[in-house]
Amino acid sequence: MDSLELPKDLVYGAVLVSITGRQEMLIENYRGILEYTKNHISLQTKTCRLVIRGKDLDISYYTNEEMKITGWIDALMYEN
Amino acid sequence: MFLSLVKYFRGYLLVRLNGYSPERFLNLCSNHNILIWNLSSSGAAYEFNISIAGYRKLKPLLKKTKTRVVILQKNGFPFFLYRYRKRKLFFAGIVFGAGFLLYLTTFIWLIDINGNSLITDASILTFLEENGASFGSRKASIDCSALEEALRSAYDDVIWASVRLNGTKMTIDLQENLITGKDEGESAVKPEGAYDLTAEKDGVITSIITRNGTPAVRAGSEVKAGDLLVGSRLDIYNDSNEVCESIYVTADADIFAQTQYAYKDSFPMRFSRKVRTGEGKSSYSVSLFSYQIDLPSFFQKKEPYLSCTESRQLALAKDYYIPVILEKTTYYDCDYENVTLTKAQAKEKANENIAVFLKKLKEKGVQITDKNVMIEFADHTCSVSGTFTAIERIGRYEPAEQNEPQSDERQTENESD
Repeated sequence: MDSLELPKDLVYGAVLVSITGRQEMLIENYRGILEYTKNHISLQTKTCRLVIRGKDLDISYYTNEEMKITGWIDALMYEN
Repeated sequence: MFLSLVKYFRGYLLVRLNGYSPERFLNLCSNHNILIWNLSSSGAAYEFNISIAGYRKLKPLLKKTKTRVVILQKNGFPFFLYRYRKRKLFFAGIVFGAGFLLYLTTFIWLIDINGNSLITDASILTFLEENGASFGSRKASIDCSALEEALRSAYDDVIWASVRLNGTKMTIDLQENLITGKDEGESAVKPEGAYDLTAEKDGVITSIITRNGTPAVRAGSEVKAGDLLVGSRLDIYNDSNEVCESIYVTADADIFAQTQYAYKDSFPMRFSRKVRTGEGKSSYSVSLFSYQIDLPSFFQKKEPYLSCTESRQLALAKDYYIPVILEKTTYYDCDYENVTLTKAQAKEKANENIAVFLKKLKEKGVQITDKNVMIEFADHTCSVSGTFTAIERIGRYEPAEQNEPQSDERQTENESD
């Protein structure tokens, strides 16, 4: 698979996370929202679950493909 | 920025969501392509923004997830209109304003004249006014092709004219007869009937090519103004070499002659001129139609001053000018300064003047072959005098005198027949 040099997000359906500093985060390729509170956001992706911990977490916008989170980010964790 | 503008014009709501499984509701929204933004959770409830169209689609989703929404705030243009729906005069004002602007666009508010160098803009503007196509006349009343024809017939120098209406701007493009100048422009038209060609001015003929008529001069002969160059009478000889008949034609020939132009110019070498000192102060004015409103200026104009006015006409869009002109006049303090030209500077100025004179001649189709100029300095005055030798076309159509005896002769011949 690696020799084809295809983008991994397309092949595996992997989640793409880009974090700008500590206050902005863009997540692509997610499936849905599992849980959302001020301090805790949990998202379902194709292979795993994504947990974001922080303070005053807001969702600036979200669509089927991407979601933008702003707030004070403390941690990003993967869970099975 | 652009996106928020779209959102404002479409209108959006700030709502609070309560209920059993808000996350499921949020997932359903994204699956149904309902855009939600600025989502934040406050305790058990969630608050977010949603468009009006999205809100209308929410009902089945709310039922499914057993949640409820409460509208907290209505934002955007549609709600603005609804809130002020009773202010009838306000809406009437908007409609009236838009209508008035539309009405204004059915008039001419800017006239642009291109291509004229001999005819002044002012003269053309006066002509247009007489023809009912001036600043502020209705576009519908203007017949472009008729105006073009009128322009061509009113000005002999105009050989081509085009009138265009773009928006509220009328563009007039002209082509002037520059090559032959004004006098020749009239005589260059070949008249019908018996016409001689006579010399326009003194000179020595350098070349003559006759197409029609009897040449009276040859290359090298000296002519005075008014002399006959090519006669219109063609004599027809019989076998015994007698003139049996004469016919009159329009003489036609290319005649070039060497002519002299006298040149005289003088200017003072010592003069005073205004020189700007310090910064300028500006005053503004607004012109509406033909009324000028001066905005009050907060300074005293001190003599002497130099003034410089910039004006700008407002436009709705490209070519849609409206009759509002902003003017900015800047007054600069100045002083008189005495200037004395050096000989070199005076010479330069004299040469510039000569170049302008020669350029004018060249535009008339005159070829300069020799220059003879003297520059003299005396009494703080620079005087220039000289002569230019030129080769140019001379020859003017003059109605020919038809000799009576010839017609008598013809009559007698007819009698004999």
